[in-house]
Amino acid sequence: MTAADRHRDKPFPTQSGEPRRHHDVGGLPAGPVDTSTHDLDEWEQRTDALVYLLSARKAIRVDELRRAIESLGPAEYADATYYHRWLHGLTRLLLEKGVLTVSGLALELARLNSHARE
Amino acid sequence: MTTTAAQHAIGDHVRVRRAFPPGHFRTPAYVRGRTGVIVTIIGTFPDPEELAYGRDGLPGRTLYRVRFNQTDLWTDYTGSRADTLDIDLYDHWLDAA
Amino acid sequence: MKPIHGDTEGTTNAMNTAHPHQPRSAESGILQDNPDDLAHAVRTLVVASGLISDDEFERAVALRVPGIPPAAHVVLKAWRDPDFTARLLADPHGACAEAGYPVPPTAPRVGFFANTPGTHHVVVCTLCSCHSRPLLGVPPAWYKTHEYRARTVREPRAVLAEFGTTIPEHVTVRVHDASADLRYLVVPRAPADLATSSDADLLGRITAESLFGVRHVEGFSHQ
Repeated sequence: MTAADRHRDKPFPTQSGEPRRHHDVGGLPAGPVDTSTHDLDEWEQRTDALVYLLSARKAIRVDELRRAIESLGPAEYADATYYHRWLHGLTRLLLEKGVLTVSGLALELARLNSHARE
Repeated sequence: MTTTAAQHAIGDHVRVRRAFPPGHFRTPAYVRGRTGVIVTIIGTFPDPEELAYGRDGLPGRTLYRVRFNQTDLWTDYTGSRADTLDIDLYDHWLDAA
Repeated sequence: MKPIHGDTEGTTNAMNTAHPHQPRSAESGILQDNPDDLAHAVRTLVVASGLISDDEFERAVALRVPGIPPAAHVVLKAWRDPDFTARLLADPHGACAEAGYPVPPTAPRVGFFANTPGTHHVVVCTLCSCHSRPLLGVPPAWYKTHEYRARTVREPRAVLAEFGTTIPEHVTVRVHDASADLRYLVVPRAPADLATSSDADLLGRITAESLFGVRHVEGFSHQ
């Protein structure tokens, strides 16, 4: 079953018929586990470091990050890798808290984009 | 931390509430409606359902480790009948069974 | 960077119209930004906010490389000293500090389960991918997969078999779903050559796999 297939079946019934949201996957049928390991990409390391430092500063709480990640839509949740979820969950949370602003983020992304084109 | 008193004791049978509220909570679907046994009273923690929205989570909630027989969770369980699943659940999700 | 292939539900065109400046036409809504750029942008703005410094950020990034998990040192001490094992199970934070690997007060609480001849423990987090960062470092990719999170609670023995780990029928399998405020680790069974092996050799065998309970350490076998 592909990630894109999974979210079409929502809400996932369990044997007891309990409804579930897309992050609640315990007991769902799924394929074999890919047991290989691989190192993090640079942006994944950076995302991981940001979450770790901001949590240690108590600027964000793990419960808030979990909630922000769960609020991704089912399709986005299914399509995203683990660190995509973290990065987008973190971004939402920092926008909520006013650490980031939409316009500030847009300007910074545009600046990076124009550097990349030079 | 202000807390509420523990409702259950080690060895008590408890049934997990069958609730599906909007918002953030930490009780997965596969244990809701199922009966297990309290094996550990872990302690008191700020309520994650409140922390998730930036509040202080007080009064704290008692967190229990609850043990389920795998054969009670899954009718098609193929392992040993002695196999178990332990999961940590907050007091307001547990009723005496 | 891993490309994100998204949206198969026909909203792609509408999205392009709404965001004509975004070149990645085939990606679903919030995932449209290049993660490299977004991670850089968030970092820059968080540093500008004063919450963290550039130096500590770069130091933290440099720590995100694979290595011997700190918990391996705790497990080795437990193998060498049964009294320490008892303390580790009863007071994990005190024992980790005693072993020289304290869990910082800002980090989530931890708990250990020791495998025995009659019981095998395995850890999963079905709702997200909870683990003890200070004791385990960056967790392996498989721990975060849909497949591991979905199946370990329901068919642990089949999942373990995919890691090459067969648990005899007479050994009870206890799955631990780290659903709330604690982070769990397993003390794997010691290998047969414990007494004659060096610490360095043994530390290299105490992998993240063994600390989550999906593999035995090299040199251990069920009798």
